[in-house]
Amino acid sequence: MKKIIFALTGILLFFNSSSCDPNKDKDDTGSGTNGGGVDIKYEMTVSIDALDVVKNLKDLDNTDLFPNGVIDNEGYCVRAQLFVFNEDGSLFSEDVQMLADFSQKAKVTKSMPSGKYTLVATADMVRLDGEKVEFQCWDFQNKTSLRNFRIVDIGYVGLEYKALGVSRSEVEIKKALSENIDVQPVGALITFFFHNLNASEMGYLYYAWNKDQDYYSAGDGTSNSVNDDIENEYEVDAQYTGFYDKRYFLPVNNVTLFWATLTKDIVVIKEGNTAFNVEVGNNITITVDVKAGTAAVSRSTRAASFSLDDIDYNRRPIKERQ
Amino acid sequence: MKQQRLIILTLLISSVCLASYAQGRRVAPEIVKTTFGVKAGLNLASISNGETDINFSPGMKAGVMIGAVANLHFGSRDEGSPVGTGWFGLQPELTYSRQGFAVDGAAVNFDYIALPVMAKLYVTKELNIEAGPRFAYLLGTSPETTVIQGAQIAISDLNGGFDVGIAIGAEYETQLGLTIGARYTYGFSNMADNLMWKNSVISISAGWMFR
Repeated sequence: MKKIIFALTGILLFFNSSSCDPNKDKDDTGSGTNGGGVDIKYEMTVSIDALDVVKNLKDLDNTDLFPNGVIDNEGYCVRAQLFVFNEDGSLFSEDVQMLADFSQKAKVTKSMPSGKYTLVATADMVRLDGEKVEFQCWDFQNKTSLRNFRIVDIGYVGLEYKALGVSRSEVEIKKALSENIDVQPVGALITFFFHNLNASEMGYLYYAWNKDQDYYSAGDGTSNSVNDDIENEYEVDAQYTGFYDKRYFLPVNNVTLFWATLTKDIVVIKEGNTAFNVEVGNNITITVDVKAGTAAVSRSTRAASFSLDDIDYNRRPIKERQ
Repeated sequence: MKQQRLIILTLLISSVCLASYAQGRRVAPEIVKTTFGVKAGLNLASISNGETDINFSPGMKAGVMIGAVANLHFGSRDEGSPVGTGWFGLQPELTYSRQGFAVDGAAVNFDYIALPVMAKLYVTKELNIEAGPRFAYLLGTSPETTVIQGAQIAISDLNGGFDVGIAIGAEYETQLGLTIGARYTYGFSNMADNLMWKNSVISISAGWMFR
C-alpha cells in the first residue's frame, strides 16, 4: 500500500513540476508546452484615404485641380502604398494598390503577430501601361529600413501630378485592429508667372532657382534638398500669359529665384531675384513683373486674372532641366 | 522535450502496472481489493477564457472519452463485511478524452490522454463521490488554425501541452460491475503563455469493472 501511495505521489509531483514551471521551454513556441506561446496573428485592416493630398490644390481660376479627387488626365492613377515596419525598423510588409482617383480608398488587410509597428502610407500619381508603371515622379528607395527609407525625386517636372502624400502612424497589435489613415501632403505646388514681357524689346526670359529637392525621408518626416541651379530659358512670347512653371516642391527654406530678360543678342535688359520658403501647404504663386523688376509671392490663392485658355501646357523652356 | 514525453508515457503505463503489481503480489490483501475495468462516455467540453485581448464566449462541444481504470477499494465497511467494501477508495484512470470548445458554430478539438487519480468516498457500497487531481497531455488538436475575433490562432502549436486540473464527481457501481458516473473537470493550466484558456469538462460515463 505504501508503495502505491509513494508511486502516485511521485507521479503527482512530476506532473505538477512539468506543467507549472513558468521557466520551462520558453523558446518552445512551436510545440505547445504551457511554458511557451502559440502563434497568434491578429487581423489588421488599414484603410488609406489620400484625398487630402490633392484636396486643396487649386487651378488658376481657384477651382480644384482634382475636383472630388478626380484626375482629369487619362492614364494617370493614384498609387497608394502601405509599408509596415517592425519595432526595430525593418520592413515587415509592403502593399501597393492602384486607384482610379483620390476619391477611392485603398484597403489593406493583413495577419499580424502581436507587437508594435510603424505604418507608412504614401500616395502619389503614376501613369500605367497595362499593369506596369510607365511613368512616376517618385522613387521609393531603401524600403527595407524605416531609418533609411527615402522617397526620391526622380527629376521630372510633373506639374500637379507630382503631388505626394505620406503619413506615418504607430500601432500596437494585441487584438484585431482597424486603422484609418488620412494621407497628408508633404509638399506644396508652386506656380511661376512672368508679366509684362515685351517681345519687341526682349528676346529671351531666363529664370533659375538655386535649390532642388532631393528626397523625403519617411523615417523622420523631413525633406532634404541640394544646392543646384535649376535653369529655364524661354523665347519671349508676349501673347502668352499663362504660367511658365509649375512645380511640386518638398519643404525647403531660402530658395532664391533669379530671373532676367535678355535681348536676342543675349544682353541683359532687366534682372532680379526674390527669396521664398516652401512649406507644406496648398499653393504658392510667384508672380514676377519683369518691367517693374518686382516679384510677389502669394500663398494658397491663385491670381484670378489669368484665363485657363491662355495656358499652353505643351510649352517647354528652351533649356530644360537636365 | 522528447525525453520528458517519454518519461511521462512511462509513468502513465507504470501507474496501471503498479495496480497490477499490487494485485499480483497481493500487497496487504487484507485491506485492499483491486479491480480493473473499462469506461467510456460523453464529454461536454468548453474552456474558460481569461484572454482579454481575444474576447469571446466559448461554447460547449461534445466529445468522447474512453479508458481503463484500476480501482483500489480499501478496508471493510464493518466487521463482517469482506475486504473492498470500506468507505474509501482510490481510482487511477488512463483515458483518451476529446475536449475543446465551440466558437461561431465550429468546434475546436483537443485530444488529451489523461490520468485522473480519484479519491473515493463510498457513501454506500454502490454509490461513491470522488475527487482528485487530473493530469493530461495534449496529443493533438484540430483544426490547425482557427480565427476568433480577428485573431488567427495556430491551435496546433498547443500540441504537447500539459494540463493539471481537479476533477469531482460521483459514480454508481452495481454488484455485477456496471458503473455509471458523472464528473466535472477543471484545468488549472493556461494552455499557453499567451493563451489563457483553461479546460472545463463535464463527463458522463458508463463502464464495466471486471471482478
